[in-house]
Amino acid sequence: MSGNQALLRWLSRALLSLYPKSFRAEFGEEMAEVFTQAIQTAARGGWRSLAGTGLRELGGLAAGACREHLAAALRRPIGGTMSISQEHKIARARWMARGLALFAGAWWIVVVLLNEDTRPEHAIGTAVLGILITAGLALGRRRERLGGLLIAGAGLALFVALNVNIFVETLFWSRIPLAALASMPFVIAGALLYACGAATAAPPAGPAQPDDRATGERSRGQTGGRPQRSEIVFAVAGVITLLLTWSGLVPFTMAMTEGLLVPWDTFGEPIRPPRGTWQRSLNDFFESGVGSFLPTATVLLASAGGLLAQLRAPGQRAMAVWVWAGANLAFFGLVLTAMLLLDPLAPLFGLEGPGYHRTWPGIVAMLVGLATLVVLPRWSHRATVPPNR
Amino acid sequence: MDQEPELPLTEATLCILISLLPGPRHGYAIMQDVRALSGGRVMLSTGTLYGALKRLLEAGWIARDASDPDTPSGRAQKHYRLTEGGRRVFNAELARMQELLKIARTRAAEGGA
Repeated sequence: MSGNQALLRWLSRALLSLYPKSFRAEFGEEMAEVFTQAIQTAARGGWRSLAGTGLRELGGLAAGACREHLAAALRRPIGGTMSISQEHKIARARWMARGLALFAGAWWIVVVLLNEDTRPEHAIGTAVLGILITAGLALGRRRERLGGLLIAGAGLALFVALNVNIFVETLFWSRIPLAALASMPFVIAGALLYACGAATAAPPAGPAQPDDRATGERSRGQTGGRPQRSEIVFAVAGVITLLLTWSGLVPFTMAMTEGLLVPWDTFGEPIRPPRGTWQRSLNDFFESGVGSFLPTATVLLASAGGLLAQLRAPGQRAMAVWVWAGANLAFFGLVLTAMLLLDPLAPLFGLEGPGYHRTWPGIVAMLVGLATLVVLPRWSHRATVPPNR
Repeated sequence: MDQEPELPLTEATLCILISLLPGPRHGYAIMQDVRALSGGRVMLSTGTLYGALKRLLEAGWIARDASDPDTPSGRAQKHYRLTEGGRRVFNAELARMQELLKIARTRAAEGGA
């Protein structure tokens, strides 16, 4: 066998390892065998034939791995001690965690590389972060909990590094809340991966109740048994994540209040609208005093109040904490995305100068974000808690 | 239990079922046969083939039989064969295509094509 064929076989093995475990167990060997036969036949037709077949085969394997994971995630529940539904929820969460860690890591590397003020120590710090994330993901394939802890640890290390200004102080990330925002994706991804590992590794607490099987829920929480270590870690990680999201929510909404509701904040009297106009009244109300804190207080109250109300109701409280942390993140994501997409459009329509004619898309995005913050966790709660509870 | 077929079948699925009509085949033989019977137009990759085989097995349209050690590496290779359910699905698809063809021919004749 030539070096090219050996390389193709090695690549095919790597891609095969990306398939779901159950699929690999059933078809993995056979697929490797068929791949070998296909490239051996193609090699007899020359290097062009080998290259063409190799590319088609590798592309097919990569696409197949994605397809099988998607199919596994979308499959309907069919029962079992750990229901297929629950198994697939874990598989989906696992891929979300990996995707989040990869995306956040790539984003961070791009930000550092594109910043013209980046110094060698920043690049070294980013490289260390990248290595930790990669190691966590690689380790997580076999020892999920350890991999999760490594990724979450990398996130916490980033938080500390940003705050003691040994990393990227020029990227205005050096304040605690913003450092919390930057490191949060890694903490969430790591905690999620840990929870997936704990959920699949933990032995069942006892024979599952028929109702529990039907809903894909475990009975431990409802029967009052002692929580397992993995459940405690899951809950604590959820609380940390929630606190991080809240610590980011305060400066974020304060900044948004200034940017969106006080468009004449940095302008003097001649530029400001005349007194008595609604634009001036609105601008002045949100510029100082109670008005400047009102949007932030509303958002925080919506988030914290909703969570407290949900915690009083029976159900999976640890999960509720995660859901509200996720809703806070959705709020950030929605508002930031709307701002990024809508702001560059304003000059195209001749909307120059300060004023609400430019900031209204952001205000709408904030209101939609607020509605999402209130509605999303309630929907999620209704979807996860059976109606008879 | 056999799943209700969702007709029309995809081209890859139909080609695999056609390939298994004469008798059981192993994975690589199916790949080659599909390529040959479609005149080189349908070239299934290993990933596509086994994804389709898995769904056909789950649907109960094909079954997997004992191993065949006669492979280049000497490792086991399994045979796939059409089940009664698979044959019924294939016949239903054939009938659907024939009906469509009949209508198309009638319309073409009416239109003078």
